[in-house]
Amino acid sequence: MTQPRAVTCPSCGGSIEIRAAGYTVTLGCRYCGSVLDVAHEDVRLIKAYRRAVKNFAIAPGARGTLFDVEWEVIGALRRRSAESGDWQEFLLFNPYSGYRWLVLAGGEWQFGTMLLDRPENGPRSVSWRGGDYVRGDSETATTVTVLGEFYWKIARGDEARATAYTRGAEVLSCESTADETNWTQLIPLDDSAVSAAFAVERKFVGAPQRRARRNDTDDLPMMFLFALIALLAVGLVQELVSRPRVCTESTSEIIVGAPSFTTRIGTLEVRRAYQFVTISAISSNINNRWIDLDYSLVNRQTQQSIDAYGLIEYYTGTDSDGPWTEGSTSAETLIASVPRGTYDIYLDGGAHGWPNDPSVTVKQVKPDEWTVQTSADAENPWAPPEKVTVWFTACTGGFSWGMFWLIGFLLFAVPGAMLWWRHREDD
Amino acid sequence: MTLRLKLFTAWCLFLVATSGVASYYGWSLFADSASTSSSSGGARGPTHK
Repeated sequence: MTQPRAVTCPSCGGSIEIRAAGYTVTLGCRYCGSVLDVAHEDVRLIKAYRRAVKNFAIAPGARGTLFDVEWEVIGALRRRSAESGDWQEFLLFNPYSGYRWLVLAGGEWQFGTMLLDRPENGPRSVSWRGGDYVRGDSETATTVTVLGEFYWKIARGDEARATAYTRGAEVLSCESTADETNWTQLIPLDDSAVSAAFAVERKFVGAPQRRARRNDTDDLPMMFLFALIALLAVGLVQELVSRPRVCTESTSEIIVGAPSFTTRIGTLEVRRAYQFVTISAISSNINNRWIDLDYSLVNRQTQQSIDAYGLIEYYTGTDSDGPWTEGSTSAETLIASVPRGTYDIYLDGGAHGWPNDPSVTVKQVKPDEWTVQTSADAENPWAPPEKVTVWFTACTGGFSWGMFWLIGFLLFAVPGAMLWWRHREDD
Repeated sequence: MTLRLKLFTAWCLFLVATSGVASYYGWSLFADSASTSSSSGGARGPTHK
């Protein structure tokens, strides 16, 4: 081996050995993972990355003997294409034999030698040293991870157009970029031969694991599509299965600041064993007011009551940031698991003002008759009390948005976690 | 179709079926039933400031 040269990483200060001194242009720091451009004397920092080594089958720096030559792994790449998924490429170096490639794709190893003589092009094949190689599919290979040393400038995101020409198990790989075209001869290598030569990470040994990784890329878009279809199905099922929908409507006027009062909104019949009941309340004329809505569904047969609560609140104002609004003029209350039966729906409602209730006076003029006076308007103490109008619609059936979004989360969590894991590995 | 995609499809079908059964019986984790009323006391107002 050549005499190694040491450089200091500007990111972490660690001392890094350049094994192919004079040839290496790009170098990855083994301590902090930064990629350095050693072509410049000041060793410029290009980009930092982490956890790169453990994603490779063989760590840079490993040495092993293949074809009676001792090779040192000086660089490692992870590359990806839409058609083939992920694969790994290792740059081998020997000072007397030069550079070679070790490729791990689909769980199978290949040994690559760069061609110095170009094959002769045919219409659907190429000819090289007396052999014809049939053209296969072309794909765009993107570099995902860079680790170690290389004799050319390389960075994550680099793309090349790759075409494979096959002759039996032997492959000629043609990679083209805007600047150059390189040909490489790839011959298959036995898994055991590579494992005997280098310390291969256990998780990368054997084809099944690698094939599983290729599937990461293949079926993830389908999983997202299935999750979306399932979410739409959940919405449709909720809407259809919660029927039949029978409604009753009512309108009430509530005096702001007065004690709460009770009124009957209407009657509903639940025809199934259990059903949702949804009560919608809309008020169009409230501002800086809130309305407490206590509902009671009283079963006519058993006189048992099911209680629920709704709230309408709407506020406006102006501050240093300008005008603002908060709240809503409507409220929807979902009552779950209402058993079969006929129900009278009662409302115990009260409206209030913000920041203060208008001052009201309630007088009993007859045993069953009350009058309410307001003194909010100081100039007109006999002004009529402020009232808010609320329209109620109570229906059997309903749509639980909470359940819809919870199931949506559970559906997308699986492919989402897989996508996150893949990108975590890439970093 | 990979084994993983088959398992995920089964998971999707399970969730759709669960949603259907929950809707049929009018059951939800996020219902407003039996919520505590605030009409008995406690002032309200804007909370964004």
